[in-house]
Amino acid sequence: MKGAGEPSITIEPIMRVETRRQPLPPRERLETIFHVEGLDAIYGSKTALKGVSMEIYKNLVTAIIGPSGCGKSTYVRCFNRMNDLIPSFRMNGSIRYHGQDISGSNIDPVAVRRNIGMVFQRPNPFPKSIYDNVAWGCRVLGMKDDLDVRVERALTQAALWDEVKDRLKASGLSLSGGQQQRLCIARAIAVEPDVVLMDEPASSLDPIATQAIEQLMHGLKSEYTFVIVTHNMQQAARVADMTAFFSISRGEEGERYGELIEYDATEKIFTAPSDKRTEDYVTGRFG
Amino acid sequence: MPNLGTSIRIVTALAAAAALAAAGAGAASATPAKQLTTLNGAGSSLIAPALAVWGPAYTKAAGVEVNYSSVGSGAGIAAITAKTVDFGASDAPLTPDQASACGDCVQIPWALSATVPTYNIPGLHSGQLKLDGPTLAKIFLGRITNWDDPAVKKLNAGVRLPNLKITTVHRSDGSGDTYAFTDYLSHVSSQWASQVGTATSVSWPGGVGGAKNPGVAAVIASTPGAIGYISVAYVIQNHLDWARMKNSAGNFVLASAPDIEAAAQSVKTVPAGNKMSIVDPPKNAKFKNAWPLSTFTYVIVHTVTPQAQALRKFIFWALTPKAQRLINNSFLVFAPIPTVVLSAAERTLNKVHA
Amino acid sequence: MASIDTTSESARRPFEGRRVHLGDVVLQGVAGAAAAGATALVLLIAWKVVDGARPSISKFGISFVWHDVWNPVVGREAYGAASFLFGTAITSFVALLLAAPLAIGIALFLTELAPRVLRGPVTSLVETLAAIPSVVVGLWGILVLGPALRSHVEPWLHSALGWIPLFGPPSSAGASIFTAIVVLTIMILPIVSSISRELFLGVPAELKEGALALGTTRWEMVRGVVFPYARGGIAAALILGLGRAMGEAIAVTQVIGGGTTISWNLFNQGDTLASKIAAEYQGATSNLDVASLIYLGLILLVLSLGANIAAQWIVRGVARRHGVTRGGRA
Repeated sequence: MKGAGEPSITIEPIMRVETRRQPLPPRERLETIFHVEGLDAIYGSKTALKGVSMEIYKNLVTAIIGPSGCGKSTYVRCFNRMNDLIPSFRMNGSIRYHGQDISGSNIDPVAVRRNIGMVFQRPNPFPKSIYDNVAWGCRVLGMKDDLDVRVERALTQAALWDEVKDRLKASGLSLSGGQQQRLCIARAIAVEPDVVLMDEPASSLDPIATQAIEQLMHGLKSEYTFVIVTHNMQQAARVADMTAFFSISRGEEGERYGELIEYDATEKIFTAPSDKRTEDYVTGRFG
Repeated sequence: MPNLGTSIRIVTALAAAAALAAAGAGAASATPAKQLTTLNGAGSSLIAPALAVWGPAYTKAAGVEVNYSSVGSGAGIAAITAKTVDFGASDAPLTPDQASACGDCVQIPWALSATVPTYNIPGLHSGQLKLDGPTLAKIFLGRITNWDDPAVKKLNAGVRLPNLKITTVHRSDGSGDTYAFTDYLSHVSSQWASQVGTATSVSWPGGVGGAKNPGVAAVIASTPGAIGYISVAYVIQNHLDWARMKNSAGNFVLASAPDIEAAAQSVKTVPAGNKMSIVDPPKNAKFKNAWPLSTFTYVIVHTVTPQAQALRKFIFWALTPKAQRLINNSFLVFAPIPTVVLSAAERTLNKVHA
Repeated sequence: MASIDTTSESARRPFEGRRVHLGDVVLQGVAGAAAAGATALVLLIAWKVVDGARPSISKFGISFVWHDVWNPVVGREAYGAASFLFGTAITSFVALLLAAPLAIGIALFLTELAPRVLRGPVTSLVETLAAIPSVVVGLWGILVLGPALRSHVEPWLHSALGWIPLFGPPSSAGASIFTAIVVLTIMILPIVSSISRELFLGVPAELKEGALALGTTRWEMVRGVVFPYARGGIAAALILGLGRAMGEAIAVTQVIGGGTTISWNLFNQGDTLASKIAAEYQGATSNLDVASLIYLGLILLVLSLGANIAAQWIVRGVARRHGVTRGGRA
């Protein structure tokens, strides 16, 4: 399996965590891209998320962390209306994107997704060539000029260009897992989204591939806004400017639902959380 | 995906074989008799209505059950050749190849009936259309293509024939009716005799094929301007319209039992193999009303058969005037067999032994 | 060989000595016998067919394939397969041409587009179509469909597209090549659509999500991801349908009308290899007649085999092109 398709990047010591994170500018200088207010996410009769309110800022990496089942994936899939594919799903509350509520049924999810891209938990390249994996979205969305340039730029931004430039016609499925995930990132950014949602993008990857992806997020932050769901606290600490901690709460009748516990600068969440539950989680006493 | 490919290979490799297997299934479905009190037969659809009457009557008279599958003459011959039945029934005599394949088979004439030209011409009821042999041959040769053709008009003075395209309809399976019909056309048309000939299945100059009597009837019923040929009993039971035919005596007749019986009077001697043709009987005062498309229909049995006793009894019974009368009425139209044929039949039957 | 040995030595060295596991042996035996049996059966059928056709092969040779006479009248016997080959080709290919978009459309509707409450009932309905015996389809074809096509569809096609030789003057009877094509279309529709449906269902949800997440519409997603992913399987399904259409005998016999004229007009009567065999095999008048009918069967067998090889080739080719066989998933 391994061998031919393995990335040729220099292998760095894995746990030398980079924190090239710039200090956060003051809140009033940050531009709000999403304004979430009172968001409930409901599958049929089961409430997955209750009363989430938070703001997500432009050109930052925002991490969503929390234990399994706290609804963090559900939450991030609300931003690009991916939950619409589940027939029993509905949401209450509002998600304002640049001021416009995108949670209503009058909103075209296709238009939302053109602005808000997504990278999934498992690499899911199309059964097409490497080139076409990136070019297909551009073609379909009408960005047909300078396709070669677009493909090269996206692959370069995703730190994959050097590894694949000689075999762009090879199947995307012939790449290793880490390369596949970077291909998916290239595919997502090739269509020039505003926001890139990442749903545990490194959970199926080895540490080297994980590091590659974290590095490219750093590099692309100035152009895109990232929202990343992760179950890996170190990852959140490494890549995120802001971190939101979600947890599972119990209602009056014992029903379980996900809830936003605390949302703050990453530094603060990991060093001086204001909620006991956050502290328990980040110090490993729970979760 | 390789799995899908593999299963496809198996499925379609067998598809062609299935077509052959399906063709053989009819013959295989009749099971050989296990008890002496049951006789199984298969074949001609023309004789089927007669056996539907004979069966219960014989069970009542002799306590022997008679099962019959109406699968067509050709299939009947195949079934008796393969010995999957106790007797086969065919309206056409065995061809030399069929006779040699069947081995010790004998064919015994046991009923007398007819095939009739059946048509669908709007406004023209049964017996209102008159035809003669040469005209019928020209229609089936594709030389007369419209019902208002002068040749048809000439035969039908006073009848309003529509300006309507003729569609000829024939059996697509091997059939005794086809044999009688083509035998007749070969007698009355030298062009037919030289171009097409006589057989249970021929190379038709044109027209539409239907499977078995119901198939031909369905095509005729749904096609204005159609003309085909079907066993008289089937035509009567299904209220189809059929034509009067001009016989060699110059009379227009309608295939009643006496007309068919008259045609059989033309048999003077019976040849060794019992193969007789009574289509287009010559002009004769004795049978001036002869229906020109009459045919004997045969029961085919092996000379040596464990069922010899039961078969002989049953066939003797079927040849008695009482049994022949059972199938001679306004619904069935089987004419009684002439004496000369009857004695030949009984002579042949006496050869059958266990 | 089967050492269920519990001496002290073997107990000390528990992994030594290959043991024979009874279950594995039985499985291997049964599966091997089944595979060998199936292969033997196919070979036996093939040999029987060649053997049965031998008199005709030695009399007519390969020219049987391109002669279009079929005269079973004793004394003037002449046989050739050309008209039936033509009939088989035109009926099965046109039926496939009609069935393919319909079947794929149905499959797509059922997997991607239809409201969930409709999917179950419509799926069973389409699959019930496959359960109707072909003889019943044929009966319906000759009693209902044929006359309807003749009276309504054929004249309309002729007046609109009469300049194409395929749509010549309408038939006077309901039985025609065209009726056979429509009947075959109906018969292969459920096969192709249910396989396609399975293939579409097999497209990983994450692939579809990946496409939709780019901001594509459902149709763009289907065209760009679902079709390419299922392409090899659909090609194979179509060839399976083609094989079914070529082999169908009973229903075609009932509605095609018969005849040995080779005509491009779909509204004329004709015959296929399978329908000719079904119609005349039992009424065959001579040994040469029987052999020639089996010769038709042999040709049909070769055609089916060819279709199979093509299907395999397509499936493998598509799989290779998409790197599916390289199993790149981490």
